[in-house]
Amino acid sequence: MNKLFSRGSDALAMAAIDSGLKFYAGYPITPQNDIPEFLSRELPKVGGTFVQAESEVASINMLLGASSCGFRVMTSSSSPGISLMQEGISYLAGSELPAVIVNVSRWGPGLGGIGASQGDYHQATKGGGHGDYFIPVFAPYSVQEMYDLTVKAFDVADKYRTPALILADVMISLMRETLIRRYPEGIKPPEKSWAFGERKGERQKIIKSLYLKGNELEVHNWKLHKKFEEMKKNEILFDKYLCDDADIIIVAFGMVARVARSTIELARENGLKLGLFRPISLVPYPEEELFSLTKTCKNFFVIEMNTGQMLYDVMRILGRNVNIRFYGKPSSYVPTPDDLFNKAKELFNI
Amino acid sequence: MSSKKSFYIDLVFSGFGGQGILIAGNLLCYSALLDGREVTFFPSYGVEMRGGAANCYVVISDRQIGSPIPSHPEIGMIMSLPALKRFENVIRSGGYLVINSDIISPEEVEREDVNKIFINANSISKDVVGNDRLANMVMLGYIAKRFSVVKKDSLISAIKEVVSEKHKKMIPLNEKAILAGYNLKLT
Repeated sequence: MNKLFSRGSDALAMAAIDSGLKFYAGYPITPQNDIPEFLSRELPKVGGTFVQAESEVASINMLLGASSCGFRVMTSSSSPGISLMQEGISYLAGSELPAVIVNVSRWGPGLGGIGASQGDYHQATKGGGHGDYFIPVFAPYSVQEMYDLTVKAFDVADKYRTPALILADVMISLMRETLIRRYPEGIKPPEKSWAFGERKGERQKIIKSLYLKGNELEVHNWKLHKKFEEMKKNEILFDKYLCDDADIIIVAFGMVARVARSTIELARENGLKLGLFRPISLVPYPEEELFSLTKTCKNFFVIEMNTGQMLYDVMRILGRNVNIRFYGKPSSYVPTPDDLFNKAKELFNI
Repeated sequence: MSSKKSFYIDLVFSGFGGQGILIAGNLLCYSALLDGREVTFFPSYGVEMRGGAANCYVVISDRQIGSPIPSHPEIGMIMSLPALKRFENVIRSGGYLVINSDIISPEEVEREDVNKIFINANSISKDVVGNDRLANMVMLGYIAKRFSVVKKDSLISAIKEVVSEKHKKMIPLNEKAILAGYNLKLT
């Protein structure tokens, strides 16, 4: 078979290896365990190092060390574990170190439950760690995107010297579907002249996030900001499905967007013109692309598996002159296409 | 906007862990891939335990698939009483419950608006391969033929994709059980 039939988590792990991953550290937690299981088996075969660390805090700091040495590094966890990593993510951002962090999110707050959830949108997109920084965030909605966006995350992380986050979910991680492994021969990571390594007559290299002198921290903050402005120009990803003639446009990401695709087909069979706008990069958010839809459509339906988080971004971007409705489902069961169709009819009085 | 001509079928497989529910679902997926179709597979997920409930959804289409979890699947392959209780009301009206009648007595089924098909799959498996462990394959073979889900050749060729190296010698037995279901004529 030319195509693989792959689980989402395996596609992500495979993409990490194809991207030249050399160091993985993580600590077990449901529902992301399939990723370290795959990597513990496959990463050593290609000369990489797999570490089951003593904690999430240790994992993220091991990444900081390995990334400083120029290696492509990754960790994965689920919501409570990602919370523990926030300090390290802030340090990575401050130290301008590339790393890929995967959150197969689950239900919170606290230990919550192991069910499907999108409750980590705020944490992922607004920075869970302290300080003035943004990191790029990608939200896959298919097994193919688990692969493609992992490749993309490594690329962006190196290009901007920043940690990058993949905000995945239970449905996309556990499901199987066809996958084209685009880079079976592997990708050669870029040279990193800034990284530690062999001293070839060079001056001392320093990688740090502590800036105490004069206005150097202010300069550093503006530098991080400038990188983010560059990301906004170059790294925005989104998807539109049947938006051109839509009377109502659903705005959703990840698994909910995937379900919404079926809802739209169901609605159109019933004479109701629904469309879908799906941000793929949650940071930077496709703001102009979303706003431009207001030229042809005045009804927007935000759906999330939380009580309303991306909703705030959509309200900010679209303003008050359009009709925005919201359906939140903070529960472990993914809504079905019928559920969303019925909600659309109810909330828009159809 | 699926046109009437396009192929789309959705199923749920359900039973106990150990009955080969996930293997049956996976086998159908690999067969459909050989037929050149789009496929999604979604396994049960939750706080599960050994011997507990096992189920999976399979969607097969010739177009890009939206939700891998259908609202109301057309066909249910039901291998245990808890599976019947959980999915009986999920199947769409006019759909099909394909039930292992060696495990579930027909009186247990309450729905009137679905088609009920009873297969004594354990007995058939025992007759054909000498034990009842391939009841899942008997059921799958029947479903594949009855609803024209996949081609017979694809189903047989795909067995090697789901049987592990360790159990390779089981492939001919699986083939036998599948064909028994495939050729089954229910009166």
